[in-house]
Amino acid sequence: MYLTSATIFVHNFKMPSSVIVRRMPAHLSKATFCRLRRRSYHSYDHLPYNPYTPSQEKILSSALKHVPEYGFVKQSLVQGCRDAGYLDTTHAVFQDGVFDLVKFHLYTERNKLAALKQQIDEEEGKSIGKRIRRYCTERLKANEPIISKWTEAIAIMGLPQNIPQSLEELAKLSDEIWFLVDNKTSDFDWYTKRASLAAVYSSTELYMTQDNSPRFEKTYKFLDRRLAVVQNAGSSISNMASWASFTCFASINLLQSQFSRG
Amino acid sequence: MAFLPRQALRPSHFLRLRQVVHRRVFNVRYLSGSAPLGNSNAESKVGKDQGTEATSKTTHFGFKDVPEYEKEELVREVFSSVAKSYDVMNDVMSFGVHRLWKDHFVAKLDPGRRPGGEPLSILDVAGGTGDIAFRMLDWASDIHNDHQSKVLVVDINDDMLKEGHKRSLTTRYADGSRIEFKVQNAEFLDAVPDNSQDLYTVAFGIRNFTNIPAALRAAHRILKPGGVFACLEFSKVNVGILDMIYQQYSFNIIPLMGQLVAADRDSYQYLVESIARFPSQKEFAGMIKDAGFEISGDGYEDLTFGVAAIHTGVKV
Repeated sequence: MYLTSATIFVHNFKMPSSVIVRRMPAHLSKATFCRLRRRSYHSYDHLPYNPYTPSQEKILSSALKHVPEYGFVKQSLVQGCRDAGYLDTTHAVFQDGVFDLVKFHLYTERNKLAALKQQIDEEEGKSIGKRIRRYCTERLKANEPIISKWTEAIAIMGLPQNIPQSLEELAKLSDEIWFLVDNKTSDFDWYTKRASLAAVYSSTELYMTQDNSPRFEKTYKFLDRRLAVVQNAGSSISNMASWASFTCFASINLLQSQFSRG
Repeated sequence: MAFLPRQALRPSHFLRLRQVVHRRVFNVRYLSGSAPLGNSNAESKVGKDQGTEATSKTTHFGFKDVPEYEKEELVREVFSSVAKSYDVMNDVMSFGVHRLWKDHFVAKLDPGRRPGGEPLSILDVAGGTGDIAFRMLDWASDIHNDHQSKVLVVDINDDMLKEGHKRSLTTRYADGSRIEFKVQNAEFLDAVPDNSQDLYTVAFGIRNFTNIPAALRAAHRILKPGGVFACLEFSKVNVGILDMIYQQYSFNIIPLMGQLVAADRDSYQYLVESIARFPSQKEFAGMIKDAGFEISGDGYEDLTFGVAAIHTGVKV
């Protein structure tokens, strides 16, 4: 069953030309497609996985339009079903209910970032820090229309049964941004960079929910401060390490000299 | 078996069911025509031997193989014998957890007319005693203030429907304007028009159907486009150690408890075997997709580690 659905997906999926195309090497078999599911990192050997059928996308995108009015509640989902031409009862087919709506928002906004790569590369040049900041701000701007209801979404994401999937979405976002910045790290930094960006982004998003400043200026300043801390953290840890090792060796030498004096 | 005394089942009834099952299973010659619906009295069949060949396909009745045309009758007899003590049987098998499962099932479906929407037309299949039907009507009335949505309860067994009708007389739906009981075969649903129902529910009934794909196709026919198919059923436990414990409990303890509580070991043995024969969650989700429904995610939700599962699909 997975093979059939994966093969149908391959034939029907059309990638927009602006998205980075990751081609599958010819020697890999179709069995590779079956392992599309739970991956929170990019892979050149697998095509991106779209978990939504066209009818689900239609319902969920119409439901998102009602969120500013009703919030992340069942009513938005029901209105979305109605607008998409289905019945009021169709909402029951979504396994996670309103959480499916939250996940859909996270999924669509994350996928829009890749289209901005060219523009951001031109405007920000080679600087990694500036490009990371730019991607974060673009992603935060996508929350602006529904920010008044975003606390509801955070509460839903914080429910124990939803936490694994919420963390996966955050990891995917962090990985998406780092991948688009073309980071070619292949040591342990790969993990620390993604973890630190995830922490920065989630704290900024939380700050944004209670920010009333015009055009969310305070949020973007908060983001700058968080990113500066992360950038400084790297150098301060290595400074600390140098200080500690110098102090340690100096103390040992001092003690040795005391003993040798007799 | 239709003429049950009002007090508890007597050993004589127990023996009669055993005789009937024994005769059918070991392919002793029997009457060829099926009994009229609603009269599942075994006595009318005993002693009328005619030469009939059993050349058609076989299906499973628990762990035994029986010809397909017999399974319907055997299932009807099982449920006739347990109709009066159906709740007791469910409590025995699941320690009362079945009530929580059914509550969660109805909460997930969230039936009820929404502001700006139409009243719902719900079909509850194999829901003879009305457990799910009453819960859905209560939910619609209390949560959504919807006093117009209707439920049509169908079942192959008239005794179960009679029990359900009797129970409805003690609820606020006694006048019958919102709930209706009809004898129907789930594989055909003759009396239900095409594209007429918003919601099709079947709770703990589909494992007894002779031809599950035919029932799924019938469900697809009678649902409106956008209508939801929902099935609550016992399923495969997904944790290895718990599965072992569950199998031991099922096959050793449940028939014994059935014998002690309701004096009907055979029915409970059949029920436990039918659970073991039912396809796994993923297989059943595949069958639902094959019938033309569209599923979301995996298409099912496990309850209590997979002891029960809710499958949903939408007709597109």
